[in-house]
Amino acid sequence: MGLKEKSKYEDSYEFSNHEGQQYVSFKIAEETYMVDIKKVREFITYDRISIIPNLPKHYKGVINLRGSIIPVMDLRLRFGYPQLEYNERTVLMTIFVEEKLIGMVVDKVLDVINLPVENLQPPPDTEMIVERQFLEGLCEWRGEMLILLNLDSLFAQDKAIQAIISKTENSN
Amino acid sequence: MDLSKFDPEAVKLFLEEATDMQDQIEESLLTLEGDPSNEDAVNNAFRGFHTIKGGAGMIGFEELQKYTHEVEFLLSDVRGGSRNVTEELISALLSSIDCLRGFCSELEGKDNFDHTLAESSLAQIRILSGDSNKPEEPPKQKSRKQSESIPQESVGKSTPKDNCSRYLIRLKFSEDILESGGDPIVLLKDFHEQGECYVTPHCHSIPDLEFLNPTKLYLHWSLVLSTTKTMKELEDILMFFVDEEGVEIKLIQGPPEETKIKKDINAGIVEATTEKPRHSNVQESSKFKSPNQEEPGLASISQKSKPNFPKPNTPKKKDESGGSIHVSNLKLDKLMNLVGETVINQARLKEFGQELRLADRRMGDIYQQIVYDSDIVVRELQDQVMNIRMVPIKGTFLPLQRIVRDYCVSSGKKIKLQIFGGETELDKNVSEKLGGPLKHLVRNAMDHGIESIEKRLEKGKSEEGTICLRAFHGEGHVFIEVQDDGAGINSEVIFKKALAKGLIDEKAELDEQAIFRLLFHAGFSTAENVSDISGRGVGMDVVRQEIESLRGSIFIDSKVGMGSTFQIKLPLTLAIIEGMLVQVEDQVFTIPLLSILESIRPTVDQFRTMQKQGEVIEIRGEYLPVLNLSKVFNLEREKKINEEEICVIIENNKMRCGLLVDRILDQQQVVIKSMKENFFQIPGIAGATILGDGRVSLILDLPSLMIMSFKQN
Repeated sequence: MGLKEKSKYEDSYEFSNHEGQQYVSFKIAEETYMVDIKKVREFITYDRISIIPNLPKHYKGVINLRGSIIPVMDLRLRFGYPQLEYNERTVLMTIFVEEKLIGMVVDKVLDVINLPVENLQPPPDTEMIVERQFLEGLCEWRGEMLILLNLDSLFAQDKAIQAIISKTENSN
Repeated sequence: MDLSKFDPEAVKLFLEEATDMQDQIEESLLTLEGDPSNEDAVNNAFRGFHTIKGGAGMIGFEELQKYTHEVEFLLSDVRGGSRNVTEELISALLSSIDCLRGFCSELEGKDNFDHTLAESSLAQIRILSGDSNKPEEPPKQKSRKQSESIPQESVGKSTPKDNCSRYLIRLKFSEDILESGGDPIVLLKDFHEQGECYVTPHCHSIPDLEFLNPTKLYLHWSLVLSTTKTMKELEDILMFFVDEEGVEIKLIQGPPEETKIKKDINAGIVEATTEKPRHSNVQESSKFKSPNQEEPGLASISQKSKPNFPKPNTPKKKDESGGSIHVSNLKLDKLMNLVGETVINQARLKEFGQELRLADRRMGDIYQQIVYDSDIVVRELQDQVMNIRMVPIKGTFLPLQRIVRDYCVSSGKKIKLQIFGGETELDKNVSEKLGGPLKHLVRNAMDHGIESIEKRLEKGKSEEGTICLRAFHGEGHVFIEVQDDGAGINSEVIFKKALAKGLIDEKAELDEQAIFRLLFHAGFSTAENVSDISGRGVGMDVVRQEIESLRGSIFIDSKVGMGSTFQIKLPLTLAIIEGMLVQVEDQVFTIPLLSILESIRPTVDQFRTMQKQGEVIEIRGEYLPVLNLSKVFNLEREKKINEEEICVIIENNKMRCGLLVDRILDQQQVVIKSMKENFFQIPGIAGATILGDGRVSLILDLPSLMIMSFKQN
């Protein structure tokens, strides 16, 4: 590790300890997103997915993670991009959302970054490809725009779907 | 309540014990009500309260300790035979259990307990024990006062007490009594509270310091007690020490020789000789008498070693429980999970063995032998772990006795609850979840089934109605029946009601079973009047749902005027099912084997359509609806029925249908994993399991699949 990197590392260490937060950044299509690192459990490679019937397209199914059954959501599909073929390089991030563990397929995992909280700015009030409630904030980092995802609301929408499913089931 | 003053570990232990005790006491009280002369029941209840009192004292929960003390006091009168068992008494004692539960749940930090309830319960108990006016004297102060003023008191007080008996009590415990939780100090205090008590400690067994083991008890005591209490009452104090060889009570009559004894207090062993002449006065000996008591004189007090004769008649309470331990559900679930994982890995090893055998036959054979050997062990392990989870259903049945009893008191009906097969074992999880539905069924039986006394007499039935709870094993299931000899269910009334509610068509031709099933329909109630016990119309629907969530089913059998039987059929366990793995397109699904009747490979002309869409299959002259998984699950390609297809005939709730699959792969035990853990419940899917190759296979939920499939079409 070069001297320069080392000092940078120490800087980021300071950040994470004091006013900063650590995030994992990843790519979906041309956009860069990030999530709170504390919510990320691990990265796994794509495994065979068993489909779950009658769910929105972005739910690819469930996988076996060392004995636990966890659902897999493709963020590309969630945001309306066309799906990429899955291969052995496809990465699944397993993320805690409301005490549940879910897998998310992303294009590419980039980095772990440190950001002071005050660098975050609220998302602009515009029509976007991502529904606004999924965004927690934006920030500028090394000349790139990072989008902080609100995972809870991403999943909360799907809980609404669940409510609809169980409702139709009951009415039947 | 400030919980922080308690040691959480001790509280946990106490709560576990107390919960068990509460159930036991409740059971004993109910037995006692039915059979007031049942001494075992009184003793059990008394012991229960006593244990809770001791536990409460141990963790320092004074309020509870005081409370149980009063209850125990009342019960000791019952034990002594000076009080009869009345309904009022049982009611008071039962409500005291409710208070105990309240205290405990507060201690657990769950709910806040309304302490005025305890106050009123206590008042009731005191009135019953004729003790309501007696001012409460804190025991601590009392004993201190006594010990400070022994000489004066003994002279001053003993003369007016003509009816005092004098007892000689020897307390020589085995050395390791402290390890099993015995506390001689409590015992000494207890005796102190009975009257005037002189304690002589015997210290001569104490070894030199270097040999002294601090966990052992080297002291023993002899006590001379003047009290109005009877021998029996004193024995009660010693009830937890009946196994001890050196514990005995002797009655000494005759005038008290105060001066002599006072001298003896400090003299220790000398006492034995001074007491010698009194031995001739021994009239009554307790059952704690040890064999060498027959030896002349009281010299045995200071005897160091005694022959270890077994006492044939002493009840050994400890042995009854078979030495069980409490294990938290969480630990058990983890163990279960691990075993489940092992089973899955075992399947993978087996699969690999077949591949290995193809590559190298000799190695493959050796490998497979090893796998088979360990397979036997794993199966056994699985069985044993499953076995740990099995509990007798009695625990679920017993609380119902209380409900029946309370209902009888409030409604004026006379109902007897009989329990058969309480020892039938089933999975703890199932057993716990069964409580609600059973409660509901029993309440229904009491409210709608059993008629009022007048009506019963009119019909020539006995005054007392009977509800039978029956549990037994059969067909790989547990059956539980709730049977009453009440009015029965009138199928015509139900039919009309269902018509009126628009649940069925007027032309619908339903057999009796089908009509009874209407009872389980949401929003159906046959009760004319809605009572607070049952009849709100949501009940039976919920019962059915809960039973089905346990993968069970429920049937009704009833004859008007004769009574009704509700039969619940449940799987032995929820954690593992025998499943058939089937392939539909590229997905592997698991069908619970118990629902499968047969599998056939039908020809194309066995399939018919109705109105161009609803498919049926003809099997031996019978038409069954066809469930097409590709369609129900919207799998990508929708195939036409062809020759290759296999039709699995399944049955659920007496309804049959054919399930189309591409291939049947295997039949094996699968460990059920919850979908809800990380996701949510999907209609048509009961859960998931992990296949030998690590893939996930969804387990089909046939009841909901049938609904999805046939209601949509």
